[in-house]
Amino acid sequence: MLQALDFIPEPLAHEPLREQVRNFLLDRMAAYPTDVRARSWQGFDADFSRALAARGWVGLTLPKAYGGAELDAFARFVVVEELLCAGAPVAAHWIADRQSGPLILRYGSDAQKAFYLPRICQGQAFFCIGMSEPGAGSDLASVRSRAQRAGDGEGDGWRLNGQKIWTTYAQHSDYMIALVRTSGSPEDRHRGLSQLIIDLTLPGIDIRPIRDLTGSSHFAEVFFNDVHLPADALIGAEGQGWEQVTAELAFERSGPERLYSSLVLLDAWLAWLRERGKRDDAVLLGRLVAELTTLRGLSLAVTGRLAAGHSPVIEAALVKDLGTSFEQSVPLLIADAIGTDGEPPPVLLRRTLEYLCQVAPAFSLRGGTREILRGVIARGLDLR
Amino acid sequence: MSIDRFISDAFSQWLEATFDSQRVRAIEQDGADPADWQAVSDSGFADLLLAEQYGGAGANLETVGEVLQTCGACALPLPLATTMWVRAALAAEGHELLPASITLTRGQRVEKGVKCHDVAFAATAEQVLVLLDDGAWLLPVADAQGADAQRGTGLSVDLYWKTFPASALKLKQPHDWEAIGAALFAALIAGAASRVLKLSLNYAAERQQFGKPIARFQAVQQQLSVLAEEVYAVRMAAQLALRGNGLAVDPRLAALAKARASQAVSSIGAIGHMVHGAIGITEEYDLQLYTRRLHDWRLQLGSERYWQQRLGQALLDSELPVLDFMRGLTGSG
Repeated sequence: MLQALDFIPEPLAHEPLREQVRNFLLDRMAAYPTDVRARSWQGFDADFSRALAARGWVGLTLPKAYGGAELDAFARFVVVEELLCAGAPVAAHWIADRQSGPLILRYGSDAQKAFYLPRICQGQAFFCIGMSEPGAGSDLASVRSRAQRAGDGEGDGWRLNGQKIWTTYAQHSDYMIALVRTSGSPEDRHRGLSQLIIDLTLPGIDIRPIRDLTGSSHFAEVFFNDVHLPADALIGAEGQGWEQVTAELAFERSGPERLYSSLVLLDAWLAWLRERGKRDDAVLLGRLVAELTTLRGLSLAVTGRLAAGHSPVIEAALVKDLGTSFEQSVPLLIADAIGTDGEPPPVLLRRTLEYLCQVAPAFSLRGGTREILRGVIARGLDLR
Repeated sequence: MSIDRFISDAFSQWLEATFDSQRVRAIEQDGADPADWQAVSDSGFADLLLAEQYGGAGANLETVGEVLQTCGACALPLPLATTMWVRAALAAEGHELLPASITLTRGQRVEKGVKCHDVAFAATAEQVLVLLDDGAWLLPVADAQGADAQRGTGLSVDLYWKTFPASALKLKQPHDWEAIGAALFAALIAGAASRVLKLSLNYAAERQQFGKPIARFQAVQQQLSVLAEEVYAVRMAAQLALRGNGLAVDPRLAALAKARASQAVSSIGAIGHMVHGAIGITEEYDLQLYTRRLHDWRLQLGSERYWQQRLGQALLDSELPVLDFMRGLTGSG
């Protein structure tokens, strides 16, 4: 059932952490122009992620025994908020930090935890998500990529064949955690699915970047042709892939990254209005900040449920759907304001706006489409 | 269970029993009976916010906010929310407390008198705190003219005092009553909105078409999910404004709450009615008690654009980036 989301303030205890991250970013982000900062969690910069890791800010919630900071979900909220509002290029470590690390911690063997988690915390292991396939988008249970127990002469392990698509930065990642079929057929739906950790340097893997409408290549298609994987590529239990992927999606959906994708634009527009002492757009500014502050309150409440050890799947879906609708509305509304302004905007503001108008439709695709999320909420309301 | 939830649950039970939807309809039609407000007075909830030294409960604003949402969720046709605040202010200024119901509105001085437009709960309130250019004045509703003649189906009417009443009382403490009122109406909207969601979920589960409950249709499910999102957002916005102790409300948070709550009214009303179909338009079905109030309260003390403008100006003047402005508003704990 959908639980109430009551306001809880951000903990005072994390103020020093916020200051440290902010000072680091002030220094590090000074050279990035606005239209590059607008890419934020679409921006891949391995050096940046490693510099962050060197300060202990990757794998924040992972145990100290594995090199993590062993901080709570609120600490991650604070760090993520600062990174996104500064438009830091966080894509390299993002997925490992947000979901692969917590997934391995929860379902991995001792050996898997000992191998992967310290590397994640050091920024030495970047992960991508192997969920979507050409025939399995929203209907994720129909994945066809198949791993079979390796036959005689190949030793223990798996032989993987199939294809993944829309995989964010597969071309730059070290590992993929993939949802594949290990028994049965696509008609068996949720049964017979498992998750595998795939070393992307193995023979038989072909990664082809896909150009997006902005001209950059942030996602890719990945082909597996008789890829031989060791037995310990399996994470968690064989056949439990669906349950695990559902838990993983809860991590993916419950962070504050679903509010701030257009914040660099909002701040840049606000700065341009202030520079000129222009006050006629106060209504739109007020609308956006009222919506965003409310969303932030809801996101903090979800973080509180994560910190208390719950898996707020339905509440996270609610906040994500509301959040992505907001993020998508920001560039469209600001475009109208700029088009009515009377003065042409500075070139960086115009480029930032153009970029966000182009990519905003993707905000409600990744991590579950709007329609899927509303279905999750409907289930939480006992409608299905 | 937290104390605020405990108090609001007790209040909710009492309110549902005392003012059921038939009583609410009767008050809307024929006006309140003195016994109605007497029941509220006797319950003690009008003194929830009143400091303990004056015999009140001295509750914090989180608790009061829950109670106000309950008022909205029960369509209480009496001005309990504003009465709580004005009683607390009167006591703090040393005035004797009378068991009168008090509403709140903006007004204008015209010649020798005062004019107020669209005063919420004017049909049932005994007194009204009128926000004038020279301060907040408590005026008796009985001395005003013209109320009933232009009354529609709601409780809000225009009030006009031809001459400024001799019994008018000016509140001296400089409270931002407009902000307080905005936060109160946001909480009432949150309550009524939650009831619209509840009614809609129940109806969708019961109503059968094409051989199954309409709740089974994706088109209906997706709309109800959006309704739930808006209800959650409005409740959060109201909670943001009503926190801490005492009477004061941060005017920026009040602006935020009323802007967000008023903004949500259109889609909450539309989806609630969409789910219900024709039965939702009838007098006998309860949905109208809530959607009529939502449209009334949306406009009370200013609709969304009015409060968005105020908040937007505060943001511009702050010279802060958006995140820092937001953090300044909500604080840490």
